[in-house]
Amino acid sequence: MGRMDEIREQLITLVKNDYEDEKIDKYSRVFVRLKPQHIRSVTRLLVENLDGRLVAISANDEGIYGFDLVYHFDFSHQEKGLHLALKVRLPRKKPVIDSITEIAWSANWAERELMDLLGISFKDHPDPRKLFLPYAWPSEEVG
Amino acid sequence: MQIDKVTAPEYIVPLGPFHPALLEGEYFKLKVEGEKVLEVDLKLGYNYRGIMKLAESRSYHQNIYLFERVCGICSAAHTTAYTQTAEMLGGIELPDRARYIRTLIAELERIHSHLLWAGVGMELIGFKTLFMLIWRDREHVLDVLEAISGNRQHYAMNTIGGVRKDIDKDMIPKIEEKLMLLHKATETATKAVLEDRGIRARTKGIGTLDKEIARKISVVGPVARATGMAIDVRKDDPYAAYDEIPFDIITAEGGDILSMAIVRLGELVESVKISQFCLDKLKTVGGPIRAEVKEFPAGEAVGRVEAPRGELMYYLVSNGTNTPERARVRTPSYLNDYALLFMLPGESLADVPITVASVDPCMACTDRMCSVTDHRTQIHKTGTLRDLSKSFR
Repeated sequence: MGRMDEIREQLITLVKNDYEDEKIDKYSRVFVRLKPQHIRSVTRLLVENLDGRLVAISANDEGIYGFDLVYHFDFSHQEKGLHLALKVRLPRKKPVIDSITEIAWSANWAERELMDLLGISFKDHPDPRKLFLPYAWPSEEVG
Repeated sequence: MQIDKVTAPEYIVPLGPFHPALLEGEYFKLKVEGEKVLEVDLKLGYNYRGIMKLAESRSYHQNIYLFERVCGICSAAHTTAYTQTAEMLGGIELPDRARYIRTLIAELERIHSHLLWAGVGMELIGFKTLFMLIWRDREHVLDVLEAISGNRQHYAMNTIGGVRKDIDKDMIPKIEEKLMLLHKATETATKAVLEDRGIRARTKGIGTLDKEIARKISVVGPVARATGMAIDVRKDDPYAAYDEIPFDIITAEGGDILSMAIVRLGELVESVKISQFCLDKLKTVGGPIRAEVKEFPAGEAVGRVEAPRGELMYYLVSNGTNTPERARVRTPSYLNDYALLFMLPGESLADVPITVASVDPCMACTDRMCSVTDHRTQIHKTGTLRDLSKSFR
């Protein structure tokens, strides 16, 4: 049994029906879709129990469908090339999601960057200041 | 009579955005008590270019030239990561000869980047002699790169499906000669760093990054390896020809600046070995250097490369047209600079420049936006430079 099967099993026991496999390519990159409310518990599982590294968070602007947040977790130090991309869809009006900075500290700047550039708000972020934009930059409503 | 208890007042020392001790624009706000740094805050964005947005409006081939210019020092790492991710999207297999040439360029670039770092570090602690010696020896590797690609920086060697220039058979003995010189230079530098008491006093136990914190903020590259984490994309997620090349991951335990120097100097030796391996292969392996590129079907791909500063990640989303729908670049300094917030507190102010330089920071982005406050009217305006120049004319 590969490492990915173990991870998938644990993920499914945690989130039950809200799990959806999207794609596994031949370079062992795994793309998975989740519901936004699970992001905290899933990150806790992946980072604290399974020793994954949060590499980056990126966002795709999908127009009227909203924003696709992609959380990149790296397990390649456990199995060659294993990379898990968790996708979460947020609505275009009021895109809000729980911050995972308290669990994975490397998410701090990634979340601040997304707040700056796409206006996604991360609930309970410990330091929600501007990162790339000037501090005095006016905040805008997305919609 | 009683003497009043005197406490040293706390001051805020600004370092940056543009400061002689920093190589690029970033703003450190240091709260100090006397010489000791108590708290650090870091502001980025003085150099924001919006490369990822630009990439969405250019074709896959135009983007090679754009991503080459993300960083001047690790330009080959960026194009390797980008072309590799695009190849994953298009399902393109690299020809053997192209894989070896790509690996050779990547390793030569690592040698030049690590020597540059060692020189800058020596200069910052005031050891000018070693700085000049190291930079003299760095010219050898730049000569090799110039001979191969025609440029000292921005080699423009990688393209989607292979490399753009072949390495001539007659050139290989000359490159080997230079590699010998580099090997010797590395030995001298390593001996100096390990044995010189001055260097030891300025680097041992300074800017220590705690192992537990390093794991939590997931630092990458030489910084991670200096805290004892044996992670290296070349081993964990092999690309180009790394899966068949034997080499060691260099680690150290201390987490301080000396450990980071030991790791980088050790990697120089490994890089020379890998380059030699590639040259040996290039003598025998022939064939084309470029595969045919057809189209990029809709989908997404994640590509990773061990740049000189650490893991570099590219994430591309394709919608089936000739321009990517989304490109995400995660540079290694994005995680390593964050480590500075944990390394600087407790250090003396004089050690701040070398600590900042120890993670080899590389701000790879430019400002397009700026804000202006009119001091007479206190009106605050923001916008692109062009808008502002109109309104203040």
